[in-house]
Amino acid sequence: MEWLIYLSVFLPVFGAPLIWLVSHYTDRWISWYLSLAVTGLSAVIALTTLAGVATGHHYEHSFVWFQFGDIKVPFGIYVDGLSAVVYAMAALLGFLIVMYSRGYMEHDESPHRFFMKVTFFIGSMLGLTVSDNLLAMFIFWEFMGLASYLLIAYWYYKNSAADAGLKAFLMTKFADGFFLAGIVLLWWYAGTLNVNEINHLAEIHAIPVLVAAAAALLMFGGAVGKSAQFPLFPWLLDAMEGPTPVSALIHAATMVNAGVFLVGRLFDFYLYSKVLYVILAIGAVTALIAVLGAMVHREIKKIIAFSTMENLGLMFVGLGAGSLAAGIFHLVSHATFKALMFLSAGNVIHFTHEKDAFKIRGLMKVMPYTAILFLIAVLSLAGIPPLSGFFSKEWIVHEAKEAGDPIAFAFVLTAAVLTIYYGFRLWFQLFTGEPNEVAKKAREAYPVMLIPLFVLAALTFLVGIFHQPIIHLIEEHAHIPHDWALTVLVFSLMAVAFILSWLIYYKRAIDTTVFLKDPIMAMLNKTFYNAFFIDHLIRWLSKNFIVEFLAWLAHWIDRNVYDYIVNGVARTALWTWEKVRVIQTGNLIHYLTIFVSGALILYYLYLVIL
Amino acid sequence: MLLSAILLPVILAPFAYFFDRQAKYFSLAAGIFVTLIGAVMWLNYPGHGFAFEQNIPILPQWDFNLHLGVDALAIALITLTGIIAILVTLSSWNVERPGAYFFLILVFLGAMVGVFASLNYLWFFIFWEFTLVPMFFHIGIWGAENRIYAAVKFFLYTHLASIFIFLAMLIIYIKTGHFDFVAIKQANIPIDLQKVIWALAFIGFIVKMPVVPFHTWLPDAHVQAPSPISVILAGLLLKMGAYGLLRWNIELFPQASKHFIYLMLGIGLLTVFHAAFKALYEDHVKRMVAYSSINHMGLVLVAIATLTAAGISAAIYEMVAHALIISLMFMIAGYIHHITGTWYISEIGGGFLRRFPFIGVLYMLGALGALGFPGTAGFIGEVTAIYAAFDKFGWIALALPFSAVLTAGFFFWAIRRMLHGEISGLVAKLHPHPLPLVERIPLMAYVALFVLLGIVPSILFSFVNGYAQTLGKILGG
Repeated sequence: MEWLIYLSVFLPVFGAPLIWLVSHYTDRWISWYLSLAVTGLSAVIALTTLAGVATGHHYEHSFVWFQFGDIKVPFGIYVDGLSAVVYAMAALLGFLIVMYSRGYMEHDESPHRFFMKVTFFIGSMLGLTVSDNLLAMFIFWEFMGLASYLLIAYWYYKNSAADAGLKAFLMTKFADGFFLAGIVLLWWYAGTLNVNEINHLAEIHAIPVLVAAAAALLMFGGAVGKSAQFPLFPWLLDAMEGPTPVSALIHAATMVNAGVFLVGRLFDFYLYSKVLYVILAIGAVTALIAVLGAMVHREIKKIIAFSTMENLGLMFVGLGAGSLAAGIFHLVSHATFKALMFLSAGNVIHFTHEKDAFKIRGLMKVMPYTAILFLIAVLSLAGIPPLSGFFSKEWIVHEAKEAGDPIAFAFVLTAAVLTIYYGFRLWFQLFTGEPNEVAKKAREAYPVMLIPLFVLAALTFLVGIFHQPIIHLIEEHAHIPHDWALTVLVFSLMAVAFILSWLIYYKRAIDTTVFLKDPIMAMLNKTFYNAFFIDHLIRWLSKNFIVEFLAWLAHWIDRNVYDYIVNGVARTALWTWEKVRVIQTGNLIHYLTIFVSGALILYYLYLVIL
Repeated sequence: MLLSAILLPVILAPFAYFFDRQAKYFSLAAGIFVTLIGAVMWLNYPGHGFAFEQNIPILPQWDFNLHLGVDALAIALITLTGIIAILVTLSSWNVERPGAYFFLILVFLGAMVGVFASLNYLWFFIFWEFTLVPMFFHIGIWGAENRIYAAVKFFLYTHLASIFIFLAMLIIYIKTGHFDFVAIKQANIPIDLQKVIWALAFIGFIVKMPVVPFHTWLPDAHVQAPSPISVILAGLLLKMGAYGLLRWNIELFPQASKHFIYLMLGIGLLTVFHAAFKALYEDHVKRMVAYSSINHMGLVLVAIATLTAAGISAAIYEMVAHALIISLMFMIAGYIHHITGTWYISEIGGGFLRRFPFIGVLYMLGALGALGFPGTAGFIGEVTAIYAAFDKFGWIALALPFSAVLTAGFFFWAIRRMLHGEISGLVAKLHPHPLPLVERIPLMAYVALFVLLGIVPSILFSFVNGYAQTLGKILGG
């Protein structure tokens, strides 16, 4: 079984360039079949593994990758309940997204380039989930960073896509600097890279707590970048420049989950390191910023991106509040409905050629299946039973309350409640009412684009209904607490939010543009829209501090200090030459004198030194 | 065997000079020969100490004998020399005035093997000096507009540095009466004098590496040099500095070395970050690569500074990785200049990848290698160096991962400005530039090699481990 798990990772990772090569010299669309076969095989292996894990097995295998000095660097896999769930989820979603892409990318000029990158991307995520040590995780973590860069900048000949790709790569890479530093720190103090051993060492308090805290924070820094948390989230919002299936991959199946998974994988260590509070705080802040942004944005994919950011924040809140299962279960639950949502949105964008939600109206009549699928995703996102989102989100709100920090709880509650507002805002806007010009030109999506969506919709139900077995796999003995008072509170607030959304975007009874006339409201709107100007701040800092100051300083020093020293030596030599020329008299006696005295000096030096 | 690897290129050199059209085949043959010798030694190396020794007396009374011998470090570098020589020859397949060009390449190749194989300090020094001459003419004759200035700067600079090595050697000779490595090692030199010798030679070696503050010759030399010569400069010539430091300073004077670890660490760290920031400021395609090269050598120095088995392994690995990755980057930078007619990223202005996908993709692959991306040899070198540095120096090593972030910054920003984006006016007007197969092969070979070393690092690590372990033990004890 273990070698099959290796196969499920290495076949997509190393096979990806071959997919490109074969398709390049034959038919470009062969890449789709190849990619489908490879990811399909991985999905089958992953589901089999999940079944095996569910029946009480776990899989591990490790070998020494290389050795330098006395230090052995391992490589290996470890699949327990936690990793099996995320592994299977990523593989299945990846397969469905590849399938869907056949329709979405139909007009693309180089699909083989697309499927190469996507396959590589999925393989990297699978590798991350099954890795048993931090360095292997880091490798796949980086692979994903590259894959997301290449896919976000897929249409690299567009300036906006190229900018978005660069931003994603550099922001996550910056965060990865912290991650690698954390790994090295922990590696040295723990003497191992293996995640289980690290968790165990933390349990028996064998790592100095300050070191543990520093390493935990550094590694969390990596997660902040990868999982788009405050303040390194702007890349996720710009990542919309890529093709929509890629967004689904990044937001649901792969990339952003990596950070959450990392903290989950090292959860005992994080519990011991006493930095969970930081994770909770960052998660709560991110969730609030995101939900406010989602409420005011116009672009379909931007709204969903803010929604992803919010849910990632919620996952970290779950973990930060001390519940592994809450965080990871929300990861799985979110992955299913967010993939569904993105791909439904992909249908809308593909067949309307319009990204701005407020230019589309009345799609229900044109794309009924897509409308219903989108609705299921929105309901799950909002947290309506029996969909998966209900169970996972309620749990996280509960955990936030139990964590005992009123501010964080307020943030989380606000985010959870307002989700239904922006979810239905989008849905009402797109699908209800009479079809407008844009909608009339559209048509229902092809079966190849709908079948994966039906599977995902079914999954959303299934994860909701069978939440208990999944949670048990993630963490034994964990269960969703029943907190009726809180549920009633959340639902009554959600009802208010829903009614508002319904009044504004379905009944059109309230005109929100009136509010924007108020300067304070306009300013708030602008702040939310720009996600509190974090992006502007980062850009300002990187331009003015890093490039214009630090890099300029290095340049200046290079020119005026180092080169000056060199030129100074040259000038001194010239100057000496000028002076020494005086003694170049042509008089043999002078030369002889100089020679003899020089020799005497050398001899003297020789005696003294030696 | 070693002598033949030195002599064959040198003997072939005059033939290359007189048979213009066959010159490249001579060069190729010599490259293959050296690679094969390297491979044979690699496979037959007993695992410790010097092997394949030859001692040819020349002036025994002055201990001036051609004493050749190699250990794992030297074998690895000789093999690298052979491989780079083959690839450089292929890249220069259609060079102008091939006779003179390959004459110099062959002389250089012989001298280079001599540097790595000599166990006699004086011979080492002679070979060392001999590598300069071909470089000087290569830059001065086949270089770009400002070639004479660059050639002279390069020559004077490195030659001045050689004086320090010469002084160090002279002091050793006066004190012990030996030039021979083994004899010097056994001689009893007072520790204070060891430090003086160490410091003198150190200056000579770090100029060649080069590290701050003696690095300014390198960007000038690279910018003016033709790309294959840049490959030789970065891939081989810089390795001489690190090799010299390891062999003739650290191995020879382990006790004195320990006094200089913080100096090496300081210079190394300064180099890493100074070069990274300087590269971030660069708009010049090739200067950016040159500073990236300096940045890597800074990391090599940090790894050497640890004086542990892990650190020395990491340093050797990073040296090889740097040779392959930066060589590719220099070649690509040269092609970009050749195609667009400008050196400046801002003048190219975007869309290059769409017009020239082969060159563009290789640039991206090289950039990934340079920033130490997993799956490339750069990653292995970087991670092991950081770990070794942390092991020795503690928390300050945790700054090193950010060097990779800066590298990502300048290379990927350059990709954004030059390769990606809408096609600029300049790029739109360019003619297609299909590379002949013979010039594509070396480019793909660099990628294949650094990816191979990135995935299977044990190829090199298991080979040099014995060397590093022995040295680490001596330095630790």
